[in-house]
Amino acid sequence: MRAIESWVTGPLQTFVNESAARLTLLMTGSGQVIAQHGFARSLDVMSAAALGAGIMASSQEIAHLIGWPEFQVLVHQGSRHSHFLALVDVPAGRWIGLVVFGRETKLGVVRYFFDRMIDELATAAPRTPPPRKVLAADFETELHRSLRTLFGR
Amino acid sequence: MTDDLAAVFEPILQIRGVRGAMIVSAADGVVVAASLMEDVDGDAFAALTASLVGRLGSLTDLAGQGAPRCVQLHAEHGAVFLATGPADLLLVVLAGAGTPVGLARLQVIQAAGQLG
Repeated sequence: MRAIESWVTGPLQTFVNESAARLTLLMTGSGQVIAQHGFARSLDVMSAAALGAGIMASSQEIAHLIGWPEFQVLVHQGSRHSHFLALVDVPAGRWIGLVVFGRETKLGVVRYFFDRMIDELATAAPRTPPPRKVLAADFETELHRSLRTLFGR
Repeated sequence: MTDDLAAVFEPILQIRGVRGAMIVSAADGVVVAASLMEDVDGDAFAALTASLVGRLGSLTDLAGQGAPRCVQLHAEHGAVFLATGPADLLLVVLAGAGTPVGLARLQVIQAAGQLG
Protein backbone atom coordinates (compact mmCIF):
# COMPACT_ATOMS: atom_id res chain seq x y z
CA MET A 1 0.00 0.00 0.00
CA ARG A 2 1.21 3.48 -0.83
CA ALA A 3 -0.29 6.87 -0.09
CA ILE A 4 0.57 10.43 -1.06
CA GLU A 5 -1.04 11.65 2.16
CA SER A 6 0.25 9.73 5.19
CA TRP A 7 -2.93 10.23 7.25
CA VAL A 8 -4.82 8.17 4.66
CA THR A 9 -2.77 5.04 5.31
CA GLY A 10 -4.39 3.94 8.59
CA PRO A 11 -8.04 4.13 7.47
CA LEU A 12 -7.19 2.60 4.10
CA GLN A 13 -5.27 -0.27 5.68
CA THR A 14 -8.20 -1.00 8.00
CA PHE A 15 -10.58 -0.96 5.04
CA VAL A 16 -8.43 -3.34 3.02
CA ASN A 17 -8.04 -5.72 5.96
CA GLU A 18 -11.73 -5.78 6.84
CA SER A 19 -13.26 -5.78 3.37
CA ALA A 20 -10.82 -8.20 1.69
CA ALA A 21 -10.72 -5.87 -1.30
CA ARG A 22 -8.18 -6.90 -3.93
CA LEU A 23 -7.45 -3.44 -5.32
CA THR A 24 -8.25 -0.04 -3.90
CA LEU A 25 -7.60 3.39 -5.31
CA LEU A 26 -8.36 6.77 -3.78
CA MET A 27 -8.17 9.68 -6.19
CA THR A 28 -9.37 13.20 -6.70
CA GLY A 29 -12.24 13.96 -9.04
CA SER A 30 -9.75 14.80 -11.77
CA GLY A 31 -8.02 11.43 -11.45
CA GLN A 32 -4.99 12.43 -9.33
CA VAL A 33 -4.09 9.43 -7.21
CA ILE A 34 -4.08 9.86 -3.41
CA ALA A 35 -3.44 6.26 -2.36
CA GLN A 36 -3.46 2.78 -3.78
CA HIS A 37 -3.47 -0.79 -2.58
CA GLY A 38 -2.82 -3.87 -4.66
CA PHE A 39 -1.63 -2.36 -7.91
CA ALA A 40 1.74 -3.61 -9.08
CA ARG A 41 2.36 -1.24 -11.96
CA SER A 42 2.07 2.53 -12.23
CA LEU A 43 0.52 2.14 -15.67
CA ASP A 44 -2.39 0.19 -14.17
CA VAL A 45 -2.92 2.89 -11.55
CA MET A 46 -2.93 5.63 -14.16
CA SER A 47 -5.42 3.75 -16.32
CA ALA A 48 -7.69 2.83 -13.43
CA ALA A 49 -7.66 6.38 -12.05
CA ALA A 50 -8.48 7.90 -15.40
CA LEU A 51 -11.23 5.38 -16.12
CA GLY A 52 -12.71 5.59 -12.64
CA ALA A 53 -12.84 9.38 -12.70
CA GLY A 54 -14.31 9.28 -16.20
CA ILE A 55 -17.01 6.79 -15.21
CA MET A 56 -18.01 8.90 -12.21
CA ALA A 57 -18.08 12.07 -14.32
CA SER A 58 -20.25 10.37 -16.96
CA SER A 59 -22.60 9.03 -14.32
CA GLN A 60 -22.99 12.45 -12.71
CA GLU A 61 -23.82 13.89 -16.10
CA ILE A 62 -26.54 11.25 -16.58
CA ALA A 63 -27.96 12.12 -13.15
CA HIS A 64 -27.86 15.80 -14.08
CA LEU A 65 -29.64 15.18 -17.39
CA ILE A 66 -32.54 13.37 -15.75
CA GLY A 67 -32.71 15.83 -12.88
CA TRP A 68 -31.59 13.47 -10.16
CA PRO A 69 -29.16 14.14 -7.34
CA GLU A 70 -25.70 12.80 -8.05
CA PHE A 71 -24.99 9.10 -7.73
CA GLN A 72 -22.95 8.38 -4.63
CA VAL A 73 -22.09 4.79 -5.48
CA LEU A 74 -21.73 2.78 -8.66
CA VAL A 75 -21.26 -0.97 -8.79
CA HIS A 76 -20.20 -3.05 -11.74
CA GLN A 77 -21.00 -6.64 -10.90
CA GLY A 78 -19.02 -9.34 -12.65
CA SER A 79 -18.99 -13.10 -12.39
CA ARG A 80 -15.54 -13.21 -10.76
CA HIS A 81 -14.70 -9.62 -9.92
CA SER A 82 -16.80 -6.57 -9.20
CA HIS A 83 -16.01 -2.86 -9.12
CA PHE A 84 -17.27 -0.43 -6.51
CA LEU A 85 -16.95 3.28 -7.20
CA ALA A 86 -18.00 5.88 -4.66
CA LEU A 87 -17.72 9.57 -3.92
CA VAL A 88 -15.75 10.43 -0.80
CA ASP A 89 -16.17 13.79 0.88
CA VAL A 90 -13.22 14.63 3.12
CA PRO A 91 -12.08 18.01 4.45
CA ALA A 92 -9.47 18.11 1.68
CA GLY A 93 -12.22 18.01 -0.94
CA ARG A 94 -14.12 15.45 -2.95
CA TRP A 95 -12.36 12.22 -3.77
CA ILE A 96 -13.36 9.05 -5.58
CA GLY A 97 -12.82 5.55 -4.27
CA LEU A 98 -12.39 2.62 -6.62
CA VAL A 99 -12.46 -0.89 -5.16
CA VAL A 100 -12.07 -4.16 -7.02
CA PHE A 101 -13.26 -7.18 -5.07
CA GLY A 102 -13.74 -10.85 -5.75
CA ARG A 103 -16.07 -13.59 -4.62
CA GLU A 104 -14.26 -13.97 -1.30
CA THR A 105 -16.13 -10.92 -0.02
CA LYS A 106 -19.49 -9.27 -0.60
CA LEU A 107 -20.74 -5.97 -1.89
CA GLY A 108 -22.45 -5.21 1.42
CA VAL A 109 -19.22 -5.82 3.32
CA VAL A 110 -17.22 -3.62 0.97
CA ARG A 111 -19.79 -0.85 1.22
CA TYR A 112 -20.06 -1.08 5.00
CA PHE A 113 -16.31 -0.86 5.59
CA PHE A 114 -15.92 1.78 2.88
CA ASP A 115 -18.41 3.98 4.73
CA ARG A 116 -16.44 3.42 7.92
CA MET A 117 -13.25 4.37 6.12
CA ILE A 118 -14.84 7.64 5.01
CA ASP A 119 -15.71 8.43 8.63
CA GLU A 120 -12.17 7.60 9.71
CA LEU A 121 -10.68 9.72 6.93
CA ALA A 122 -12.84 12.65 7.98
CA THR A 123 -11.50 12.29 11.52
CA ALA A 124 -7.89 11.74 10.50
CA ALA A 125 -7.73 14.55 7.95
CA PRO A 126 -5.50 17.47 8.96
CA ARG A 127 -7.32 20.71 9.64
CA THR A 128 -5.44 22.69 7.04
CA PRO A 129 -6.64 24.41 3.87
CA PRO A 130 -7.19 22.07 0.91
CA PRO A 131 -4.11 21.60 -1.29
CA ARG A 132 -3.60 23.96 -4.20
CA LYS A 133 -5.13 22.95 -7.50
CA VAL A 134 -2.79 21.40 -10.01
CA LEU A 135 -2.47 23.54 -13.09
CA ALA A 136 -2.56 21.87 -16.48
CA ALA A 137 1.01 22.98 -17.08
CA ASP A 138 2.15 21.18 -13.91
CA PHE A 139 0.00 18.14 -14.36
CA GLU A 140 2.62 15.80 -15.84
CA THR A 141 5.21 16.74 -13.24
CA GLU A 142 2.68 16.26 -10.44
CA LEU A 143 1.58 12.94 -11.91
CA HIS A 144 5.11 11.58 -12.08
CA ARG A 145 5.85 12.80 -8.55
CA SER A 146 2.72 11.03 -7.29
CA LEU A 147 3.59 7.82 -9.09
CA ARG A 148 7.13 7.89 -7.69
CA THR A 149 5.67 8.20 -4.22
CA LEU A 150 3.14 5.46 -4.81
CA PHE A 151 5.57 2.98 -6.34
CA GLY A 152 8.80 4.02 -4.73
CA ARG A 153 10.65 4.61 -7.97
CA MET B 1 -42.12 -8.24 -4.93
CA THR B 2 -40.44 -6.80 -1.83
CA ASP B 3 -43.81 -6.60 -0.06
CA ASP B 4 -44.46 -10.26 -0.92
CA LEU B 5 -41.10 -11.19 0.53
CA ALA B 6 -41.66 -9.08 3.62
CA ALA B 7 -44.95 -10.90 4.20
CA VAL B 8 -42.88 -14.05 4.74
CA PHE B 9 -41.39 -12.72 7.97
CA GLU B 10 -44.48 -10.94 9.29
CA PRO B 11 -45.56 -13.92 11.47
CA ILE B 12 -42.07 -14.03 13.00
CA LEU B 13 -42.35 -10.41 14.10
CA GLN B 14 -45.36 -11.39 16.21
CA ILE B 15 -43.26 -13.72 18.37
CA ARG B 16 -42.55 -12.25 21.80
CA GLY B 17 -39.13 -10.64 22.04
CA VAL B 18 -38.37 -10.54 18.32
CA ARG B 19 -36.81 -7.16 17.49
CA GLY B 20 -36.73 -7.37 13.74
CA ALA B 21 -36.26 -9.42 10.63
CA MET B 22 -34.88 -8.94 7.20
CA ILE B 23 -34.21 -10.71 3.94
CA VAL B 24 -30.71 -10.41 2.59
CA SER B 25 -29.14 -11.29 -0.72
CA ALA B 26 -26.64 -13.92 0.36
CA ALA B 27 -24.36 -13.30 -2.62
CA ASP B 28 -24.12 -9.53 -2.13
CA GLY B 29 -24.88 -8.99 1.54
CA VAL B 30 -27.40 -6.26 0.77
CA VAL B 31 -30.89 -5.82 2.23
CA VAL B 32 -33.81 -7.01 0.10
CA ALA B 33 -36.59 -6.36 2.64
CA ALA B 34 -36.42 -5.40 6.29
CA SER B 35 -38.39 -4.57 9.38
CA LEU B 36 -35.92 -3.65 12.08
CA MET B 37 -35.78 -1.57 15.22
CA GLU B 38 -34.49 1.94 14.52
CA ASP B 39 -31.32 1.41 16.50
CA VAL B 40 -30.17 -1.43 14.26
CA ASP B 41 -28.00 -0.55 11.25
CA GLY B 42 -29.67 -2.79 8.67
CA ASP B 43 -27.05 -2.36 5.95
CA ALA B 44 -24.22 -3.29 8.28
CA PHE B 45 -26.19 -6.15 9.79
CA ALA B 46 -27.01 -7.55 6.34
CA ALA B 47 -23.43 -7.28 5.14
CA LEU B 48 -21.90 -8.95 8.16
CA THR B 49 -24.49 -11.73 8.47
CA ALA B 50 -24.13 -12.66 4.79
CA SER B 51 -20.37 -12.67 5.20
CA LEU B 52 -20.69 -14.86 8.28
CA VAL B 53 -22.93 -17.38 6.52
CA GLY B 54 -20.48 -17.46 3.60
CA ARG B 55 -17.59 -18.24 5.94
CA LEU B 56 -19.61 -20.82 7.84
CA GLY B 57 -20.40 -22.37 4.46
CA SER B 58 -16.69 -22.91 3.91
CA LEU B 59 -16.54 -24.67 7.26
CA THR B 60 -19.55 -26.94 6.73
CA ASP B 61 -18.36 -27.66 3.19
CA LEU B 62 -14.97 -28.66 4.51
CA ALA B 63 -16.70 -31.03 6.91
CA GLY B 64 -18.64 -32.51 3.99
CA GLN B 65 -21.96 -31.22 5.31
CA GLY B 66 -22.86 -28.93 2.42
CA ALA B 67 -24.18 -25.40 2.83
CA PRO B 68 -25.54 -24.24 6.20
CA ARG B 69 -29.35 -24.19 6.42
CA CYS B 70 -29.82 -22.54 9.80
CA VAL B 71 -27.48 -20.69 12.13
CA GLN B 72 -28.38 -19.71 15.67
CA LEU B 73 -26.17 -17.31 17.60
CA HIS B 74 -26.71 -16.61 21.27
CA ALA B 75 -25.34 -13.42 22.74
CA GLU B 76 -25.46 -11.68 26.08
CA HIS B 77 -28.67 -9.79 25.30
CA GLY B 78 -30.42 -11.99 22.77
CA ALA B 79 -30.02 -14.18 19.74
CA VAL B 80 -29.67 -13.99 15.98
CA PHE B 81 -31.24 -16.58 13.69
CA LEU B 82 -30.06 -17.00 10.12
CA ALA B 83 -31.69 -19.34 7.66
CA THR B 84 -30.95 -19.83 3.98
CA GLY B 85 -33.76 -20.04 1.48
CA PRO B 86 -34.14 -20.56 -2.26
CA ALA B 87 -32.98 -17.95 -4.78
CA ASP B 88 -29.85 -17.20 -2.76
CA LEU B 89 -31.81 -15.34 -0.11
CA LEU B 90 -31.11 -15.32 3.58
CA LEU B 91 -33.64 -14.73 6.35
CA VAL B 92 -32.17 -12.94 9.37
CA VAL B 93 -34.07 -12.53 12.62
CA LEU B 94 -32.92 -10.54 15.63
CA ALA B 95 -34.41 -11.72 18.91
CA GLY B 96 -34.11 -10.09 22.29
CA ALA B 97 -33.84 -11.80 25.65
CA GLY B 98 -36.99 -13.71 26.56
CA THR B 99 -37.79 -14.84 23.04
CA PRO B 100 -39.04 -18.44 22.91
CA VAL B 101 -36.05 -19.80 21.05
CA GLY B 102 -37.54 -23.08 19.85
CA LEU B 103 -40.60 -21.40 18.37
CA ALA B 104 -38.52 -18.69 16.75
CA ARG B 105 -36.12 -21.19 15.17
CA LEU B 106 -38.97 -23.30 13.83
CA GLN B 107 -40.71 -20.32 12.25
CA VAL B 108 -37.49 -18.95 10.83
CA ILE B 109 -36.72 -22.22 9.06
CA GLN B 110 -40.28 -22.50 7.74
CA ALA B 111 -40.33 -18.90 6.52
CA ALA B 112 -36.94 -19.22 4.83
CA GLY B 113 -38.33 -22.10 2.81
CA GLN B 114 -40.96 -19.75 1.38
CA LEU B 115 -38.44 -17.24 0.03
CA GLY B 116 -37.87 -16.97 -3.67
